Amino acid sequence: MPALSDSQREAIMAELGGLRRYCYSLTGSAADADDLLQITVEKLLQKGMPGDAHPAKWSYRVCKNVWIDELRSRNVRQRYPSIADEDDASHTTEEVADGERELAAVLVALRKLPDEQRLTLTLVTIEGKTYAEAAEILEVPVGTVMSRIARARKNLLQHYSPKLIED
Amino acid sequence: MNDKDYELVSQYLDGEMDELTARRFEQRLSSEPDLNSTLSQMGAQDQRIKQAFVGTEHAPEHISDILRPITSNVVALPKRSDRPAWQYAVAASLVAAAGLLLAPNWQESAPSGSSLASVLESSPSMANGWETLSDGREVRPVLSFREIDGGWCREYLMVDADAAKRGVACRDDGHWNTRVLAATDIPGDASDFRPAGAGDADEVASYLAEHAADIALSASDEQALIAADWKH
Repeated sequence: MPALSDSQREAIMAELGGLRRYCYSLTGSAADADDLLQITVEKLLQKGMPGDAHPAKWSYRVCKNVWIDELRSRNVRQRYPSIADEDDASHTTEEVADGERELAAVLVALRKLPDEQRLTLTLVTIEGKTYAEAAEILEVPVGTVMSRIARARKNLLQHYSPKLIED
Repeated sequence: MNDKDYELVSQYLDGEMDELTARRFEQRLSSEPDLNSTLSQMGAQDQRIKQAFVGTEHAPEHISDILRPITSNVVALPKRSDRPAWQYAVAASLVAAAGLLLAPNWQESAPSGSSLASVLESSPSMANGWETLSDGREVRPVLSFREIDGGWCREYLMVDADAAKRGVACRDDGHWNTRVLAATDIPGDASDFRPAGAGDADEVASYLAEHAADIALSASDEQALIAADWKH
């Protein structure tokens, strides 16, 4: 497979923010998200991409595979979410604290989902992918995406994050 | 509320429902308080999840730097000795590699009924589910890849009388020949994860590490290859 072309590099750069957010939702911490993102980018650069591949879908797929295969094998995800380095100077201290608490609560809830449900839910709910796009990224049928999403939402609602709907 | 209802609520929230189904669903909402309440709760839950991740999309500069087009910025990549990620997948999914069974003479003729060869020849890789062979064994193709010498190979799982094996077979002149076959645990689901442990020593993972020319084929590439009778 050829190395990435300039246009492919630019297309992936345009996706980098979403990819980083996806990494965060999977790993549960900023440091691990950056690690996962860097490995993903390195894989993309080392392995290239078919000329007719959709850069966004391809990148998310590589990211998903890296997460499943590599980071999980190192048990990186077992770390408790550390979000202290997510500071943003444009927010007040109180806002940051609220945001961190909220993010931590959501991460704890998401972490309790079976992995295939979390992978699917985050792609659709957070990244805004369509079922068809998520199916391509996850390499499963669209019907599987549909049922995983429904099960994920039901699980969150009934078991893991009742507080998420109280406000 | 049954599972189908939860799927409908999800489809509605995600804009994945056709117009007619959406209209019928909206009619149900007005007469079914439980359905209506679930929709509201799941919608609110989605919003909170989305909102929580605002601000996490900032990629570090050093990562965008290595992606910038080469013509405008040349940055050396740090060397990694890692194996391709998908090989870790194989290693990670293997628990017991004991009892390696090499079957050099096991050559199956291409398609004839439900043989291993016919499944490898024509069935796409699957995350779950099984194909039943005429002799009762169950097979699940797991992935396809190109060998260093240019041939096509597939990794597969096989269950025979409660014993599970993981193997790699490659296509030689229209015949699928098993290159390596090892005892393994049966993954109950695509999501099942088993720590790599001694996976690096596993024969199947080692075979992949030594013989795979590239990462596994995408579903669409594999589909095209199957349609072309593996003649790309």
